[in-house]
Amino acid sequence: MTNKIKKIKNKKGMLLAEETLKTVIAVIVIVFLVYFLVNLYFGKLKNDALKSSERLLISSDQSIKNIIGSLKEGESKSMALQEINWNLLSFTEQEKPNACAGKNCLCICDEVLWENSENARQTNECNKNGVCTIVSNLKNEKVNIGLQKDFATEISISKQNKEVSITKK
Amino acid sequence: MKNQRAELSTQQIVLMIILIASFLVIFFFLLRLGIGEKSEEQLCYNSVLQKSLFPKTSLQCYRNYICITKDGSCEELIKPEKIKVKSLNETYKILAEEMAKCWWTFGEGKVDYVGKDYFFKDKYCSICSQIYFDDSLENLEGVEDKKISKDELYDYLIKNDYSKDQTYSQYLLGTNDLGGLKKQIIENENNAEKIGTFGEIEIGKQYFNVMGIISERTNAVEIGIGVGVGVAGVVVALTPVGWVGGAIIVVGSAALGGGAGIGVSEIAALTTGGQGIDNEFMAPTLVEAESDKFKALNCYEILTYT
Repeated sequence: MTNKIKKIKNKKGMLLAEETLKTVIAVIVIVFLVYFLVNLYFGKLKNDALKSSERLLISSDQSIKNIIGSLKEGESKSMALQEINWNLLSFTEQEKPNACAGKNCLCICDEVLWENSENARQTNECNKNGVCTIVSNLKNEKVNIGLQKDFATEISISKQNKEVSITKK
Repeated sequence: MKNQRAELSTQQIVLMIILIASFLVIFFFLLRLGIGEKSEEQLCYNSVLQKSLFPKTSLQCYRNYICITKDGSCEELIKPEKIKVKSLNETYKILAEEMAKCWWTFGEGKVDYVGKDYFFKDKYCSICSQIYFDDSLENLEGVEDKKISKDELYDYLIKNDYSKDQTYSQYLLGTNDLGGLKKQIIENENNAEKIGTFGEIEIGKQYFNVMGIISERTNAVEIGIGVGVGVAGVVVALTPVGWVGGAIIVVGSAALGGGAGIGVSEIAALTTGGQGIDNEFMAPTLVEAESDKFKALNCYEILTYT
């Protein structure tokens, strides 16, 4: 009789452990699934933002790069930037994002971190979450213009003494 | 009885720990395999094929950042893919692999991924990778004056196999005739000094591993021009100067003046016709980042994202 009770209790213990094991595996799988879904969602958001930045900065007909390319000495042009909540930044000091290939450049990046003059962190941020284009003759001054998705931010691009400067209007 | 129940659950806990640990180990090795990098290449390749069929879709190709170094240091780039080398030959092998990877990703000259343009044939470039040659490479045997000879790189391409049946040079340029390629460089109209060399790579600088394709015009425009005005004159007017001569880059070098001309004549030798399509291609080559030579390529658009 006691043997029978022992066997039943053992079985119960086995069942309990088996269920725990299943639960743990299920939790692991769910955690990974949630991780992948969250990554997929934010990856898509980031990808869209990068594409918009690329269009504004480089590839559209009225992109900043094309406008700079068409500027004549002493000329100034203004343009309205929209579509994205990121920031237009310049890199003219020592540390620059990879895409700048060591030259002066303009970037549209997600976050602004260089308020505390931490250039390395900002460079890193633009490297990961940003789009850059080389503007070799960019004036050695800090550009930091916040862009907004719903409102157009007007900027002015001018060329003086062969140097390109960008200011918020 | 209590002991027995505890023993069982301990066994199960051990099992669980083993299970989780082995999962983590497998996950770690999967990450180490660089599957992400491979899938990025595959993603780009798929988007190239997709664009050839559905021109409205967009390419999903990103530039890779690579640092070739001897001592493991890499000051110029932030978190690049570091590749340590011990000899020049290893450096050439890495460059050959990068060039071949680029050629494969963009369809090996068999795929038109830019569609047709209405009036002008435009040059579309793809910067597959940005390579920094670290200062430490100057200590490699055979490096003189902080420069690596590109002639030796092309020599490597003709002497080493890409696959069982072809060398890197045959795969990328369709020929193994290095002399012939150099002859094309000498004979190019921009090469006033008539020097038959592919040039040099300067250590401590960044280079683009870049390839290109020239778009075709839509038939409608060609027919319209032919019917309306008399083909020859107008077609020449609409086609970039120098295109008729067959060199991709002659336009840009002419625009920039003699400075870039000597270097650019190298590109003329790297121009190959498409396989089964009318587009012309520039085989992958190394050009200093944002140099006059790169500007002379006169790329209408860079297709790869930064």
